[in-house]
Amino acid sequence: MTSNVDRQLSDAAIERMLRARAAGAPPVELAPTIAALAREVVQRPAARSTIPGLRRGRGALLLVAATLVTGTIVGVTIVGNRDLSVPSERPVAPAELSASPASSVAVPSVVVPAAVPSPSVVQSVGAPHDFSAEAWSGPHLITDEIGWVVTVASLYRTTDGGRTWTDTAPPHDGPITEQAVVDADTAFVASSQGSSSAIAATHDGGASWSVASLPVEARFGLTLLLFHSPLVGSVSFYRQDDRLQVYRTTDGGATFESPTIGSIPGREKLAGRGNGVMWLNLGKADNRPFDNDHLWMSSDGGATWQARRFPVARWVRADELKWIVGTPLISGDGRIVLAISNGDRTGLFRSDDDGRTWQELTAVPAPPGGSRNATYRVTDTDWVYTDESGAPLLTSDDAGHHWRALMGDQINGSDSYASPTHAWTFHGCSRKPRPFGTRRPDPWCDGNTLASLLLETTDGGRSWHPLGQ
Amino acid sequence: MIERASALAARVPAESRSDLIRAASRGDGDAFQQVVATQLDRSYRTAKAILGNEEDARDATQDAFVSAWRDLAALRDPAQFDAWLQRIVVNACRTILRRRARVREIRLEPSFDRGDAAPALQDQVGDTDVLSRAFDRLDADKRSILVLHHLEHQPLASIAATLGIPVGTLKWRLADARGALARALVAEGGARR
Repeated sequence: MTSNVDRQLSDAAIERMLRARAAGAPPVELAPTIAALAREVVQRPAARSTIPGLRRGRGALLLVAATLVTGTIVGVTIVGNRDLSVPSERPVAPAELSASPASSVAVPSVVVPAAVPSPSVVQSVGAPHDFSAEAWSGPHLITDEIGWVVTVASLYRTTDGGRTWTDTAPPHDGPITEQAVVDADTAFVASSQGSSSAIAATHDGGASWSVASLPVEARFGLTLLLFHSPLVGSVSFYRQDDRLQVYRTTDGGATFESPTIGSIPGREKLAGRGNGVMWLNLGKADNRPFDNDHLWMSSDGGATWQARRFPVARWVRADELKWIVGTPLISGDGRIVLAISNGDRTGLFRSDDDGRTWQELTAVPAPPGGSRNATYRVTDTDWVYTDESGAPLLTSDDAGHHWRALMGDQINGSDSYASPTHAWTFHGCSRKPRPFGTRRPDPWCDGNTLASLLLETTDGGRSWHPLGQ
Repeated sequence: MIERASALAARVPAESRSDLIRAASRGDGDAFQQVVATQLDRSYRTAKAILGNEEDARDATQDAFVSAWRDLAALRDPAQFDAWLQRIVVNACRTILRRRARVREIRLEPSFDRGDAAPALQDQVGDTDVLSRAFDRLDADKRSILVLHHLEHQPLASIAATLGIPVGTLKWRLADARGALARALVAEGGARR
């Protein structure tokens, strides 16, 4: 039967069939509709910034950190696989915790349907890509083969460990205000145009996108995307009264329900967000010591807030100014790991009872001006702690119970770990002359002419090399 | 329709066409409308052949042109515009087919009855309608390759550029798509029995 079909399935028969399928002129309204839509859609700029402000600011920090490599290594108090868990000198009693959600005002429930999925525009399918001149905001290594790189203009994805990249070209109306990568297949992009904001979602690695339009303006250009999973998360916007308007989704951005107005406790300022939580800054930005204040955190996009106690460090006075650095980690069973700094040191703390009591795990000396950007990566039970002080990387394979230090190349970067041994980081190259006292030249930057390099480690941070080499 | 598109394209000299594309890439909406006018028939024809119905073809064409407008500034060489736009159209069709597949998955009933009597296979091969239904069983990539080759009569190098694959890979995929169409034709006959 098959050979009979092959014999009679001629080119002419296929062409005849396709001509029949394609018969008919385009609808007369199609061209005017396209013209009208084009008038409303803002073109993407062709050129991307070669030395973005993000990189310039970061580069300055890296330069400072590089000058202090020697000092930071000397001061580290951890060796090998020693258990770093040290009880806090002044544990916070559970009774002191007063966790009370902030009042929230529900507005009439509105379900915002997702728009028709927009076309996937793959501009560079499986092509090598040089990110050295990109304005990036973070690498995301999900597995050994699959990773994302977020730039200010787009999302790139690789399925071969970074050898080739696909520009997933997320659809957006107006400037992209925020992007969030959740896992190997799921990412979200927020953009804003006038009085509405668009949330684009992909659940197939950027092959296709759907777009939901929310009737709210991104004030200050801020859209806060927080996702706990591919399906559950929130999109929050600042209101004129400094409260937050929160849209939640439980279907991966297909629909958003009941915008809620979140009351920020004490009308404080947001300090940061990441790993599905937001926290308030009661430290440096407000020039207030936080010992007597609560650690306010929200896991629902700012609709409600829970109060916890700040960890207390032995190496800093009670009334001394200090603040959270990096992104706190919160597990589902009440474990929290976060780092605080007073500018001279950064301390890593762990709580196993949802912030009632804390243990100080280690304290790392910080360069002048303070340690910045301590970062973490969770892969089930494998947690990683690093910061930009150039100190050895700390890893835990039991969800933060025990930590060990890895001695190796001192990379100053915001890392992303697929496993305790395999990670990426963007390494900034400075255009300025190397400062006196730097122990060794930067082995990766080509005459300091590159804005940044995407580096990879496959031995847990002991050594790094440019991706693809 | 093919003749109309060709006539429109022929009225726009290559140089001025490049100028139009450059102007459109700088945000000139009128220039873009002229570019649309020269490419609309072809793009719609491609989409309709791949998708098989007017509504989806209209949506895919519309989405493709809006995407092209949005990203036109990224196109460095106006001479590559046709292949670039064709790729966008094909991608738009892919997206719609994925969506349609999801919808179909929801709507299919387990008790779906396919018990119609089928004509003899020899009759089916000459039956454009049956062949079209067999074509509907193919995935987006196979449909695109067959449309670009058998309907648009594009050179292999041009199709390879449109799909972003090497020519050697394209040859293999073209043969694979034809084989899949033959198998789908057999399956279509079986489904109708």
